[in-house]
Amino acid sequence: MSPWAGLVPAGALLLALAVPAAAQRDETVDRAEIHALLMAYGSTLDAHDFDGFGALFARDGVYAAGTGAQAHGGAEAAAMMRRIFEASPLGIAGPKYHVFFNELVDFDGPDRAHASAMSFYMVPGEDGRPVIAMMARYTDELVREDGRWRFARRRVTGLMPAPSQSR
Amino acid sequence: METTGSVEERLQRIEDQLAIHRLLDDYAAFLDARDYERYAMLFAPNGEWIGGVGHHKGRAAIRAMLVDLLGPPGSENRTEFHLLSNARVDVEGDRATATSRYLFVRRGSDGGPQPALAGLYTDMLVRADGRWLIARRIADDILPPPEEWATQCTADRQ
Repeated sequence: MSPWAGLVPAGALLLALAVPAAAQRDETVDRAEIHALLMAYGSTLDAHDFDGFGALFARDGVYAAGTGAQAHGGAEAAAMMRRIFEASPLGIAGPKYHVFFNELVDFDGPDRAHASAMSFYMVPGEDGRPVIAMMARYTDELVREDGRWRFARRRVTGLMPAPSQSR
Repeated sequence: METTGSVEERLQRIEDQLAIHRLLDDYAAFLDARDYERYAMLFAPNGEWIGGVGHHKGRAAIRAMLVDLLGPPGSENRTEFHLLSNARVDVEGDRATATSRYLFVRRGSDGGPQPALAGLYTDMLVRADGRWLIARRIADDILPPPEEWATQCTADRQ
């Protein structure tokens, strides 16, 4: 056996450890991009940009809405939200908007992650002041597809009012 | 934001910020999930919690505070949640300080979410065995003020 044979794995290990931070996978960039994706969920819906909303989902992405309805793929998710918003189930005029908080993101690999977050859905009250109409939790599976983070699955759970109480 | 030092030093600062922000969010998540074990483990072994329901030192005492306030661990909670916001974190080596805002939201009489209490957390944090922990957390109830909040809580229990 070559006297150098045993040194190869050790050398490879040293090389791996010597990779400068700048050359390693930049998790902070991934976190920033995932944060932007979670925010875009609200900004597209608030702007009634349903095509933009659909583009947030992976090709096989699943959107499980708080109503129990499920959409498969971005186009179906976009169509579902367009229908819901046109029907205006809350019966409240705008402006309405999402407030997100308590965002937790964990990585399952270089291109997979899962996350949870919560939201208020704000609507104008009778006097025009902001009122919290709903509080929800999001449970997400995320995937990097074609270089961009997307929802592989987003499940919305209504917390308050309880789903049966939602107007 | 400080932008000096080597890439490794700058990355360390970012990782410290991320870890501490995560700690602040985990606090709310574990509290609302009634996961008292993981909540208590967010504190240093002799960590302190100081607020409207007293001064509790050590993980066992902090865990006991939750049992006392919220009942047995692991019970389902769909009626009250903590919103954590406005986190500001300053790191100095293996020690850090942080402030953040909490909004305690409860199910209202109509079933919808109602803000019940707003306050300020002031934290001292310490890095132990590579993990950031709460050395001391002060929870200041601001709106309504502590006396009014205590009166409301007493009325709720009756």
